[in-house]
Parts: sequence; C-alpha cells; structure tokens
Amino acid sequence: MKKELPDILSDLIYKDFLGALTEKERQELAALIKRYPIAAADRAVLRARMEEEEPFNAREAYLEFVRRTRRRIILRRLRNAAAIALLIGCGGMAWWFYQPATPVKAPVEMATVQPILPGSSKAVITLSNGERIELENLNRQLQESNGTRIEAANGSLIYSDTTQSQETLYNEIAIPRGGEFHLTMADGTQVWLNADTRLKYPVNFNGKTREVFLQGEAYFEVAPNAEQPFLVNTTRGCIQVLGTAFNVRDYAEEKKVVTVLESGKVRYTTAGKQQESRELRPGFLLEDVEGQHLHARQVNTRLYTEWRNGKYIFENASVEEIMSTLQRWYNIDVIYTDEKVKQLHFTGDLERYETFDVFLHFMETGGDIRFQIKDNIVIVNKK
Amino acid sequence: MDTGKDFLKDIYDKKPEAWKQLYLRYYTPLCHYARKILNDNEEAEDIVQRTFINLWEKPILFDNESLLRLYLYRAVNNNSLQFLRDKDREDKRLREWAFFTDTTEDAYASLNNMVMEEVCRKLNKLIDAMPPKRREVIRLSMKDMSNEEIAEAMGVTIHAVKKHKKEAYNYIRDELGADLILLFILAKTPPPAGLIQI
Repeated sequence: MKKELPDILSDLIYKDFLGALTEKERQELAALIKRYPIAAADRAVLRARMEEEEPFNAREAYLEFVRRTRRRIILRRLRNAAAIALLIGCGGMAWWFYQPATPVKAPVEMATVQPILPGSSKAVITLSNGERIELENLNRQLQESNGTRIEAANGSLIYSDTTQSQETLYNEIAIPRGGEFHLTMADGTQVWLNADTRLKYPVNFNGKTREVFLQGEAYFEVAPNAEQPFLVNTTRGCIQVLGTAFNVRDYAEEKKVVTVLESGKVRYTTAGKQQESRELRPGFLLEDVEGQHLHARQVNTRLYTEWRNGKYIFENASVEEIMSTLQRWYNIDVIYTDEKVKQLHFTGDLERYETFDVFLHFMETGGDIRFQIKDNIVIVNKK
Repeated sequence: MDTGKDFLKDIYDKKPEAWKQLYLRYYTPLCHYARKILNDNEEAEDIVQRTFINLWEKPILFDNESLLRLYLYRAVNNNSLQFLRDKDREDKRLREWAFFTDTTEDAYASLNNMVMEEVCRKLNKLIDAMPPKRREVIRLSMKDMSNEEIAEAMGVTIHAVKKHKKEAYNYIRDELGADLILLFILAKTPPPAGLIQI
C-alpha cells in the first residue's frame, strides 16, 4: 500500500517518540523534517499536546450521528408514504373530476454546491522594511525607502527607479494558490507569475548582476543588458540570461526544475558541489530532476508557456500532472480513490479562465474517469 | 492498524459497526484539528459531525485507509474555512489562516496539524489498549513525573511503578516489532524513549 505524506511522517514521529526508530528510518525522518517543518517532531510540543484534557467524546458523537441519520431515514420514509397517499388521493379525485393528477416529486436533499472558479489576480508584496501589503484588484501607489516608486494596478506591479541609490533593496512577491500576477521590474524586465509562486527581486539595479530568487512558476521576458547579466536562482540551480524569454517551473512537490526557452540564450548551472552546466537553445526544455543528470530535449514550447496567455495545453499528460497544475489555479484539493486512475493520459486545449466543471466535463467525456465534488475536494474515480 | 478493504467497503455500504469504528478512530483527532482553525470546541464538533454525515449521505469507496484519512482531514479543513468565510468575510482569523496556509510561508500548517493529530491518535490508541494501572503509570510519566511522584500519586510502591513501566515497555516492543529488541540488546539499557523512561 502506498502511504500518503502525512501518514509517512506521523508513523515515523510516532516510532521516534517511542524510541523505536531504526537507523534508516531516523535518516528518512531527518530528511523529511528538513523539507517540511513539522512541529510534532519536537518531543516537548508533542508531549504538551498529549497532556491536554480531552474535551471531545467520540462515543457521544456517534450516538448523535445515529440519531441524526436515523431521523433522516424515517423522515424520508414518511415523506414517501405521504407522497404515495397524496398520489392515491389525487388519483381518486382525478378519477372523480376526470383530470390528470399532478405528480408529487419526492423532495431531494440538495447539498449546496458552489461552482469552483478559476484563479484571479492576487498577491502579497513584502517591502524591504518587512511591511506586507495584500494586492487584490487594488490600485495604489507605494514607495520604497530609497524612493523607488511602485505602481499597483489591475493585477500588475510596475517599478520605476529614478534614484541613484547605491544600496540594493529587495522586495518579495507571493502569489497564493488560485492567483496570478504580472510584474515589471525597474530594468524593464517583465515577469508573469503563476499560482503558488514566490519571487524575491531587487527594487533597483545597480550591482554587477541582476539577481532574482524563484519558487514556483514564472515566465520571464528579460530586458537585454549585456553589462548586467540576469540570474534566476531556483532551489536546484541558477539560470544565467543575456536577454531572452523563457519559462521556469520549480514547485517543491515536483522535485525538479524545468526551464523552457522560447527565444535568446540561457545557461543553467546546478547548485551544490558537483556542478553541472548546460546551455539551452530556443525550442528546448531542460530538466533538473532530483538525483539525475541534466536532461535537455526539443519540445513544443507553447505547452509550457501558454498559461500566461490564458490557455492550458496538455499533450498526452497524465491525470496526476494535469491535476497538479489545475490544483494550484483553482485552489482545490484532489484525492484519488485509486492509484491507477492517476496514470490515465489526456490531450487537450483549454481556456484558463473557465470554471472548473468545464475541465471535468472534458475529461469525463474523453476517458475512463469520473469526478465527484464534496467538501471542496475533487474526488477522482475510475469509471 | 488499518483493517483493510473490508472496513472501507463496510463504510461505503453504511454498515453501523464500521461507522462506529470510524467515529472512534477519527472523531476526536478531527475535532482537535478543526479547533485549531476555529478556536471553538462546539463549532469544531459541528463541522466534524457534518463532515461525517456528508460522507454518509454520499459514501465514497476508497482504495485504502490512508486515502480515507486524507479525505477526512481535508474535508474538515475546507469545511472549517468555509464556515469562517460564511461567518465573516473580514474575519481576522480567516485572513491569517486561509491566506497564509495558501501562500508558501505557512503552506505546511494543515500538514503540520494533521501529522500532530495522527501521532497523538496512534499514541492514544497504544496507551488505551493497556490495562488501567499500567495506562495510568504511562500517562503520569509522560507528565515528566518521577517514579517516586507516580508512586505517591497512585498510592503504590516504587517497585510497582517500575514493574508497570517494564511491562509497558515490553508491550510497546511487541507492538512495534523486533527492531526495538535489537536496540535494547545492543544498548544494554532501554533506548532513549520519549514516552517511557525506565
């Protein structure tokens, strides 16, 4: 049985608390805690939680559940009985008046289902003094401490640097799940930021290089300037640019950095001791996967970059890949009832701003897959 | 720990015994989880009860219990946030939660809480399966009480406390398998346990 991440973590921490980890498990737990800051791994915190008085009573709750569900069954039976009685009554009268009876529909208990909407412009910006500002369709002017003006309007942020300040200040922009944003930096470089993404960048450019730090997915159109190379740092490696357009995707869960070049030239260099470096030509994709060598291949770049033009293109993509992209954009949770269903493949072209059921409908008609939506969770079943 | 496919099928078929088990296993941890978001015991219980009833009304057949568990925690998470959202759009707690569990800063808040509740659930299950006296010794020793203090609180001898601890240790060793024995023999003394210090 394949275990989900919370299960893997809780099993290891449970054993650790009992002093029963093997050496291999201890290493596994240490590696996981490095990636996920888990409070329960701290024995003192866990001990405090275990000592709390227990205010909840599962047995009583179960009895309440039985009462509530039983009442529903009885109610439904009563309603049905009433409906039949009414039909018979109406039928009798119809016979009498020679008129057809109005059929009585059994009341259906409908859960309120809200449509799942696509993402929209959303971001939080952190200024160099640590101040955080939420930007949702907000038009406003901000100013950095060195005088740089920042204009926020209609889902985009524009920096204009008129100062000659020597000190380099950094801002950070965070896009939540279900968000997107557009950024024009002080050097004229444009960045389209996708959902669940974070970018740290200089407010003004006066160093030898222009350096930014990315987690998540972004499309860059870098303003050419041979004197100041542009560097995009990801969690695995660094992309060096001389003036070009490319897409970078580095989501923690995917454990890889994917760079796709549309025009110009970039060089990707891995971080760490055993450095690897590759130059990329337009139309190529470069993958830096955990535990593997760099790998480049020619692709249809639109598959990777069209999101910024409001389109998703999937070409023979697995359900798991498609869902991991849609999850961020629609801010939904996905649970599979079966492991095999993840490996079904789909090809298609979809509008990014459609509501979610359009996607689901497309996939349901195209393959052996069924979706259920409950408690804001998309449950994926085999047909 | 998991009872496999029959349990999942029985949940799907609405068998009362399976549903009772589902409550006994997950009701309390889910309430604690919801309380962290809602900061209110009664609201937490309502949300969890509603989540169970939602599942009962339209059951889902899961392939393994890990997926069912994940579903329950996610559902309680979403229903709690939805509840806050309905209550007050400008609610400060919601902004702290909904937004920053979404952004990368505290993206692991819900994972964190689920892991915490799951570890506690497993520990409680283990402890609750012990005989009453032994269970009390373990609960008290978790409060960092010394053998003397425990003996006094329970009105038994220190020797009895040590005996209960030893039995608890053997029991846990049996529950968790042979790894612990190996550690025990190699170290000549019990491993540094967070739960029991003999």
